[in-house]
Amino acid sequence: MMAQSVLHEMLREHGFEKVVIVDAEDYVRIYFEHRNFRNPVASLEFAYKILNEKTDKFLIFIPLFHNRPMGEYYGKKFFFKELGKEERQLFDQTPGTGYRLNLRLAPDFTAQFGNFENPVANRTNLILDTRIYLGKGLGLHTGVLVPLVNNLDGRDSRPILAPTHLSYFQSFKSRHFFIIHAGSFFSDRYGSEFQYRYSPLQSNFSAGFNVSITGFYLQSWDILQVTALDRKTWIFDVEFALGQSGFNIKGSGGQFLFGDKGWRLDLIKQYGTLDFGIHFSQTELGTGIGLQVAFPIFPGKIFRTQRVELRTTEEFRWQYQYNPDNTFSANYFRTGTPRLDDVLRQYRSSFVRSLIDK
Amino acid sequence: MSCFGYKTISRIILINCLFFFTSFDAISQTNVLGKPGYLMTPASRWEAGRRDLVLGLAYIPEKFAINNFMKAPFQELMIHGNIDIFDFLRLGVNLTYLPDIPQRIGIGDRHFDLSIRVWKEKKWLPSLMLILTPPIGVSDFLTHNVAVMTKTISWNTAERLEFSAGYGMDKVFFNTSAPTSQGRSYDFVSRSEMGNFYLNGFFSGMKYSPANWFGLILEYDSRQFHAAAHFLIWKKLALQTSWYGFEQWGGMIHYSLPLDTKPRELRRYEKRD
Repeated sequence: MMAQSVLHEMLREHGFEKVVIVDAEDYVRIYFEHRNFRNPVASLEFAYKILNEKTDKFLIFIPLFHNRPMGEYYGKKFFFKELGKEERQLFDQTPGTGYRLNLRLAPDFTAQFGNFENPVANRTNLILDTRIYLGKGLGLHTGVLVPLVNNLDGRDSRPILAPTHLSYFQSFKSRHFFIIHAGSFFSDRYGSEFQYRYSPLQSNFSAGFNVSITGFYLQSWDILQVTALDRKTWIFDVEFALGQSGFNIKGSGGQFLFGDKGWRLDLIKQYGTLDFGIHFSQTELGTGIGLQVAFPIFPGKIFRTQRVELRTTEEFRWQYQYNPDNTFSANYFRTGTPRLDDVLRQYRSSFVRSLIDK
Repeated sequence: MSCFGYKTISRIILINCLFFFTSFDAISQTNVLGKPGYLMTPASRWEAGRRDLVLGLAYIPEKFAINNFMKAPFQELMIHGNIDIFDFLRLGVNLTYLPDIPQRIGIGDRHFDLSIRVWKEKKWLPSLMLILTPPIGVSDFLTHNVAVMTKTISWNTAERLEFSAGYGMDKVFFNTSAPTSQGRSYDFVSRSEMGNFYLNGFFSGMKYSPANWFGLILEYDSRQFHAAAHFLIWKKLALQTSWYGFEQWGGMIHYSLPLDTKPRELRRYEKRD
């Protein structure tokens, strides 16, 4: 076994952050966060490949999300074990490496198809953003939004502040997860959102709810328009994964954005790097059907030093509503931080195993 | 003796590689809707365990147009994506863009369909696939419900001959409500009365591939005969020149993206070892 500092350095060099290594007699416990990979299986595999050459001891990996440990994945096959209080305390007490200034480039694409004069009316922006961890689970997400193309509306073409919010994430026993956001979000919303999810990571079942109160805001270089904080949403959902197929069925109901009450059924297929979903919805605004896709933008890492990293986004999500009645029905707004259900789906033990066993 | 052993082993490795590439490439050739097939017609070739996203576009001249919007043909540009959801299910999305009349129809008609693999190809049994269009579209003039069977014959590692035959139903369950109306009404309608002749009746296609990167195609799409030549570059980019009705030229370009790729940084690290 090499000195811990050497292992720290090797992992850091390959983009791992917040590396904490607990070296016991016959096993090594490694806590880490890797923000370049949307799918934790990629970072688990990466860590395994780096460390397996250097040590004969049994390896236990504990990936972090927002500076909080998610669960134990051990051995070559990444078997899952729920995280206890002890392991969490061990992470809090053991010194490790810190976070980099992780700068991320992400496109932002809003389009409206089918206008006769302007078939692909779109507003395309480039966002340079970062998340700075202020404490355990507490992060500040902020950045700059640079408009590139806009033939959709008459917005300012000068740069503005990208969605900026504080988020706090907490989890217990790898089954109860909470996240709260406050600040400005995508879809011109500002306000606050709370998500809770009961998702035992070894189980295929999960359920959750989220509530939000938001208002509309519109900013340009020198003007900020804000309406009252009066739009409430509350949505409950239940999700079930079909074994190791990577296929998920999710039913949600409640009040969506713009006071739109109804239900929505999502069928989501996880491929690992890419997620693809179809949804059907029935709400007061109308019947809907649509697609959504989430994938990382090529090439990933652009450059990386000891303290700074520039990369392309690990998740670009785009939803297309094919809806004859109303394009706004059964809509969520995106905060800028991936939603808990989209995150936790990837940490689920059966999904991790499905990619490893292949 | 040792020399002979080495040669045998290297030959086995070489043949295995060729088999791998044969199976890899056979799937990449697609029809005008981005599905595995010939030119207009589909084939039921399907490889288990591979999940691809095929993106591409195809040009069809006016005389051979298949999306007869309001019974009037125009030059068509088909823009589409097909994604493998399971080993037995594929989802296809197509957009028909009409470059001649963008001001009349906007971006174009959208079409969704599902391909279902019923059974795989066996030694003597051809594979069977169904292509079904759910009646969710607003003005889906490409609606088709089709059954197709495919059999491949190969006598060495590179050369192969493939035959397909299928049937498309005339009657379809169609969303007959006006695009702007709030309610929905559905009815069984005859496609030929709507002006939809795409795969309406019996069709058949065949392909001869002398090498993995090249193929010659002949087909009957239930109305006319067509021919095409297909090329594959970098194992992922498929180019095809089409000779519609032995009269007019067209073409298509498709890119297959494997969906089980790992992030680039991890792939590079694995390669380094």
